[in-house]
Amino acid sequence: MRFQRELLKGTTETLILAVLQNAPSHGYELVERLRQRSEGIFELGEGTLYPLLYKLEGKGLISGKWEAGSGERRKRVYRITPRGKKQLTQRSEEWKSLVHGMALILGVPAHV
Amino acid sequence: MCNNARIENRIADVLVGSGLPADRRSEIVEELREHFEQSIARKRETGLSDEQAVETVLAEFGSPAIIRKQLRRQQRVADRRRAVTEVRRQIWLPFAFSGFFSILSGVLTPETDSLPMRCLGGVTMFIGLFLLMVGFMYAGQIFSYQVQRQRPRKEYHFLKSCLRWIAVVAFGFVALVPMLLLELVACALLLGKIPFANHFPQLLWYNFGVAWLESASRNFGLCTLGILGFGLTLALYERSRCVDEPVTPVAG
Repeated sequence: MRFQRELLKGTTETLILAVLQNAPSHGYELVERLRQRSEGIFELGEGTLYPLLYKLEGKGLISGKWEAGSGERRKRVYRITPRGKKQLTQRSEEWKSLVHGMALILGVPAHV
Repeated sequence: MCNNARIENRIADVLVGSGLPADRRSEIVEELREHFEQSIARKRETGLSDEQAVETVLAEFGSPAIIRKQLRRQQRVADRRRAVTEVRRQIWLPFAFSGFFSILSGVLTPETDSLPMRCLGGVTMFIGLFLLMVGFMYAGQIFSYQVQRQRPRKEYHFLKSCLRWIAVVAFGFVALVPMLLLELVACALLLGKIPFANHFPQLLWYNFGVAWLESASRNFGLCTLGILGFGLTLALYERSRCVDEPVTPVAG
């Protein structure tokens, strides 16, 4: 499904934080997990992912660390920080309120 | 062009002119290379040929220019944050510097003005010097980060940085506006009246023109030149140590 750009604006960071809360991931794995967990609804472009990861890292919401991979190459694995967890909780609450309000107005059930 | 070279060129496209430090760029190269390899492998598993897999992955990756712009913006934010931290760490320096000169110039120097007026002059000079020096320190930090990342032959960038410095000096004089307002408020509180209330344009001229040209500029100008000279010397020294080389696209 294609969403309007304005609708998705600002939500991608929350999605990344939510995926990383479950388990630390490297870039490619994160895209895959996001795709699987959303049942294919969120297809995050790789080109969008990395600038976002660096932005979140800059804000101290996630931390990246190089770890040895299965092959010769090492991988940069990202983890959510305590600050990131706090931010995620706050954003989740905001999101629930938003969904609830939208559901009431649109007259559709909110499954949250 | 072989597929590997296409991937390397795309990564280089993202990073060329991104303004990122060399260590950060090499990390991103490694990370993106790893990512591309995994993405291509996955596309192959779905039955695509090598060529098709690379084509699809590159198309999905998006525009290098947009990504480069985002990375550059993030680097600027990081630079600013780092510069603010550095200036806060050394805030005692402009404080002591401004305090010393303002006491010398505004209070201890024998003047024809009454003591309250001399105190006000001292306060004005303190705020002015303090703001200007903080501005210089901040700009100097940003400047040195940029110079560190430049290629030695990029004279254009160096010139641009110098112009930015000059703009910062000019901006320092804009600090006179809040200083003037503060002076008026202080006068109103201490003396019970606003001096030259009916002659505001003359007051503006006095503060922006005569006063700065005649008395304050003696120390102020010397300090400004001193800081500018010191900062530029540091910047030139940093520049002479530049070892940063750009990521070179792989030939096809």
